[in-house]
Amino acid sequence: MTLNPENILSVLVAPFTNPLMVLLIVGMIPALLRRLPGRHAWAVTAVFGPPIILWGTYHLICLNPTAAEWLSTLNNPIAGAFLVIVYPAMLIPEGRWRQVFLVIPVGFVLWFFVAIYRGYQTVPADESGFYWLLVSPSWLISGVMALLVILHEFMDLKWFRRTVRATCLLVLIYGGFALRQDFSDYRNMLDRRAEEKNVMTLQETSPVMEYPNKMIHLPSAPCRFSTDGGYVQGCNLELFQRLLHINMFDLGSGSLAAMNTLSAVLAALMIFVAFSFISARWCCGWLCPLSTIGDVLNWMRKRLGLPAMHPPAPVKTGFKISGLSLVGVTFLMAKATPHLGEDGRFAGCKIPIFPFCKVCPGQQVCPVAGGGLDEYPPLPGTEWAFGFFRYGMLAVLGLFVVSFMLSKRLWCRFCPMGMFSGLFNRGGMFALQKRAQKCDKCGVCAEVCPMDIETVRDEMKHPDVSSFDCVLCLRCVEKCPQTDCLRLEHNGITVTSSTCSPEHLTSEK
Amino acid sequence: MKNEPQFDERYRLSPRHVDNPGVEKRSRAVLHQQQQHLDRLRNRPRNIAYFEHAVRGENISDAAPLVGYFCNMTPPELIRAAGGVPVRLGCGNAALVQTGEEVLAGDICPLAKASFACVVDERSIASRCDAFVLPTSCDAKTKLGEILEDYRPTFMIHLPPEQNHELFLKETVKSYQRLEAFLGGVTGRKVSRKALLHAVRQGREQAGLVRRLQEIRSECPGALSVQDLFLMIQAASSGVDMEEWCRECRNVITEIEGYSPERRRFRHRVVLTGAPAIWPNFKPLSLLEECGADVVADTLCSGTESCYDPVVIDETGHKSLLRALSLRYVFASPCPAFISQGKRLNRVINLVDEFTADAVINYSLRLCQLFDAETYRLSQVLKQRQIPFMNMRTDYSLEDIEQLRVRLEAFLETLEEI
Ligand code: SF4
Ligand code: SF4
Ligand code: SF4
Repeated sequence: MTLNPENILSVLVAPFTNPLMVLLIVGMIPALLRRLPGRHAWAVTAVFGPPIILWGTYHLICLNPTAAEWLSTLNNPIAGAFLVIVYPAMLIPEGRWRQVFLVIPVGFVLWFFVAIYRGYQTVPADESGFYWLLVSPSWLISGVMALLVILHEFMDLKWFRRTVRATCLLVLIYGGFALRQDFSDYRNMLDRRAEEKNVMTLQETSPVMEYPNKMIHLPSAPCRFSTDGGYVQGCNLELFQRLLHINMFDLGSGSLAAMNTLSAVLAALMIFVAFSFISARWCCGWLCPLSTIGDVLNWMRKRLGLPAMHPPAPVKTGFKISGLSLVGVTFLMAKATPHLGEDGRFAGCKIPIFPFCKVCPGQQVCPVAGGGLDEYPPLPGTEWAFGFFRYGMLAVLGLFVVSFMLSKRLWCRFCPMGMFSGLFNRGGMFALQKRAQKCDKCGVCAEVCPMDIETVRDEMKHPDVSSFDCVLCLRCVEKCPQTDCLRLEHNGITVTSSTCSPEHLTSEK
Repeated sequence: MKNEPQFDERYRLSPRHVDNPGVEKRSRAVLHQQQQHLDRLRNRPRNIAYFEHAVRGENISDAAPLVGYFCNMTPPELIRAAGGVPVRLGCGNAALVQTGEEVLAGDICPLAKASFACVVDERSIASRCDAFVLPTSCDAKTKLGEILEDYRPTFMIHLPPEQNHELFLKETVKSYQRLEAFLGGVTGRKVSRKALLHAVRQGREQAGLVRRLQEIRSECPGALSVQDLFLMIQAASSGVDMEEWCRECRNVITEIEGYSPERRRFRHRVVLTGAPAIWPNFKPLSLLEECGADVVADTLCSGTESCYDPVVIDETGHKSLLRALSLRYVFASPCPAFISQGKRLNRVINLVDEFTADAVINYSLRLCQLFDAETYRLSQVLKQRQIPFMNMRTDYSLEDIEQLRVRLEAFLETLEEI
């Protein structure tokens, strides 16, 4: 991809013609209308504005092949699968049309199996054997999404959440070796695995989504920190660090390499913000492998019959501040990356390329979850920035384990990765709504909330009870004893609502 | 946990029993009269006799210790988990009020007086109880505890004044823990996590059944009279075996599910709120039905309120279960014992909406200051929302029944004009 400084403007507007962006903009209209006063003025702008902008930019971009090429990097299978499979499933209400619609996911699942079969066709006859699932990422993602949409029809919220979380854990943690594009890819993975790992110098902190020139960062999904390469890119913090790696002086002097990095990172950032706007912190509640692993620790506490700790507000705020401070310090270090000397030192300190990743517990926890204790990566040496990384790593890992063991999700108050998606909890497409008239403030929602959120219980005036910390796990919706009191809306349309039906209560035993 | 004694041992009095043949005779007459009222109801479930026997205390198993309790804030689940049989003590017998008056002050509500009279009366179920549990839900109850202690070991549950979870949840859980220790002393069995979980599950099943009953009644109020509904609900807290109750209740549900009215029903649908109507005082219920209104929903703690909402099980640790009980029984309670009336108002307005009721009737029991004091706000708030409202201020005696009937009929007539 060639790019010169004059094109930077078109690079910036290009994303607005992306199908994902169309969804984003169209979705923003009701979201904005719900929140802003002066509805009429907005309605006019909102209805006529986007088509005009889109049309204009489309033509601008068609004139510019570079931008058109960059545009193509924005398309990704997750967006496609979401638009075709998941979004309709969320919006079409129960009934005949839903059954008709289910034909689509069923088709995708069938094709998923066909794709695996075709993957096995690439295996040479003399080496035939079991190589897990040989399937391309697009088919994997759409197949899994379709499978979940179908399963949803047969499950209640609790079991559906468990299924989604287990599936995501499998795909994100084990996907690295179990899900490969084809046989040669499988071989490459084995070769990469054989290389010796050195956490501190690992350039590619995250496995590469096997698309040329493309990065996909899901909100609230940590990377796997494994050298075998998988289907998922790093977390949003990795993305920000990549942005910080760009040397601004190089950019100013028109260096092509810096421009290319910038364009790739910007594209990834666009997609990521769009995902965050669409899903807010939902990924925290349903997808994040870190919290799924943490839930196993939490489950152990429950088994022991220990009550969960409900830490007081200052502790929670303290967690938040520490998380952000850690980001601040490590990002400053990342800023030093372009200025590292030959020996990897900056001002006499050894600094890794992705400093935040080196203290992230995901780096320790995910490999162990995927491959057992053998996979435990070596700890950074004490010579790295005066031992900051070794002791920081141990402290954060300890925090992770202890906070998941003692309370339900105290950790998630610390995690900066989740915090970013939290920005979209109010103002994004998801909204947790309450009908105060049905609520008797029983406090069940606050009791079951893994984030100890009290807004849902206490807010009696405003119907929107979303809050920054909410991970949209929907436990409150699942457990609220009043039918239709709580509900989750996506872009104004009810996705699910609390039910406490007689059948549900009497069929328990 | 060691339980500090709640009362001063030194000033204990020896129990006093009353034998008043006059009162006895009249109380039997009240029971008989109420029974006749019920017998006149049409279209009753076939197995209603089971519930009738139960509320009269005829189905109590003697095997386990009986624990008498007052109010909705005492979780029957805890008593069951401790191996006791919960028996709700509230009594609505007009004739017994007189006996109670002799020990308690005259200006105390008839419910407290009649219920106390049951304890004194050696033939009643209350006097067969091995222990009493009551919350500090009103002045009468607060003072009743010490008097009851003269008769049987008694435990007072300390209620927070405010339903503020943050400030008072831990305290309420502690109260329940003390109650557990007390019950353990009575039954000789510690409350185990498993037993508690089982009892809570059973309670949830009961809630499910009552919800189903209400669903059917909302659709077609003629399927089950509100008096029978109250009878069934109160039977559940009269020391019956819960499994058996659930079975019988399921039978009723299957029976009334098949009910189809001969013609469309044009009776008014009302929501009943206010003081508890306890067997045999079904006066407000029968009056409303006789005047041509269907009570489709209620917030009475002796009615659906007592078991409409389930205890929500999240974690199953012992303490978590106690927290769940506190949330359900104390923090969601619309009882006027707490400083804010908001929950009750919210509930009433929601019930009007959910059950498409035409009006709200407030049953305010004379001499109950708490319910009396709430009437003003209730009437004003409903007026703002243009929901027709009538206050029915009365007590247990049957003397004002005709007068009430006239007022009710006039009120229901005004509904027709709307
Ligand atoms: S906040 Fe929790 S759930 Fe969200 S990304 Fe972080 S660890 Fe995962
Ligand atoms: S669980 Fe439902 S009824 Fe209870 S406080 Fe929360 S929103 Fe209100
Ligand atoms: S408020 Fe509800 S959806 Fe949000 S984290 Fe708490 S329980 Fe989950």
